[in-house]
Amino acid sequence: MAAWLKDQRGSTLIQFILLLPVFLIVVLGAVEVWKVLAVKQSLHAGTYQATRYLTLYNELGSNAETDAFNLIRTALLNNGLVADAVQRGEPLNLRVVYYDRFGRQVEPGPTILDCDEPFTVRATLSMPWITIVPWLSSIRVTIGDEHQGHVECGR
Amino acid sequence: MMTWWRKWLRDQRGAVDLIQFALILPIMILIIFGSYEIWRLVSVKQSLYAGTYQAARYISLNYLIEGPAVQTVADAMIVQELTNNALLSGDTGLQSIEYTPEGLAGLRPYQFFRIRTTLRLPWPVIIPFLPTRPSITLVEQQTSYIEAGPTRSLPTPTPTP
Repeated sequence: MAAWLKDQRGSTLIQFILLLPVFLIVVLGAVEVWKVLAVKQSLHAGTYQATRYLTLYNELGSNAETDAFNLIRTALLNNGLVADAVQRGEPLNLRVVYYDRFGRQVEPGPTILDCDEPFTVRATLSMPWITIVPWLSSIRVTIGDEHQGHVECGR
Repeated sequence: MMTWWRKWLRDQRGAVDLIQFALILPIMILIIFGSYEIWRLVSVKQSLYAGTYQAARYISLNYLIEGPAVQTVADAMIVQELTNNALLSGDTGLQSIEYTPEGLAGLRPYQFFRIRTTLRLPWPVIIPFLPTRPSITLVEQQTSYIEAGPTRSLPTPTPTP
């Protein structure tokens, strides 16, 4: 027993075993970060599209708000990661709000937004999956994206 | 009397470092070649994204002028963007370009449409310790709408008496 404890052969193996979990955490952590970034990219693409849509299509009595929301939603669902999660039954908690140039929350549409009036679209998404952070409780990451545009009336 | 190389062979200085290096070398090679493989994959995905985006944008702006014929140009734009990537200059591996609604028929201004492109990497991906060589399929999906310019006109000025 004493001889076995004193034996220093194979110390490299012990080092390797000690480092393995650290290595695994780094690799799996990178995958988690990549997944969040991929969704963030889709959210950005969708918010941009929605802003452009509202810039051009801002007709009286239209359902521009529903259309803008759907543009962001489809952009997210076009991302395979989100589509898979939703298919598994995870909720897609997407919230879209609009602000005027004074930072007040508004409904899009000409009743409030006049020609050339700047507005901001802000989309917030609660990730459709739970991210596991070592030594912390698992968290649901929330990402947001904001884009500004103005009502184009053509002249 | 020893020749210089016999001396060099018996010299044990640096032996541990050398062995350690020899052990690490395969791992290093794996990491370097692995990152090259990932880089190639990301590069192709990027080209697929760019091509699909260009096509969607073209359809958005030209559909009301050209009608469903925009598809031909959109297809060519995607293929061109892929060919522009040196990694894909021979075989692009493009599998399909699907449009929703089917054939882009009867789209009205501000109506949504979708493009879905599928590409199968034209080279096998070698994953260490895996006997099979999986072929990776990349999918890019984009939703856009038919753009028709601003729909709101300026308010008509009220004549002043």
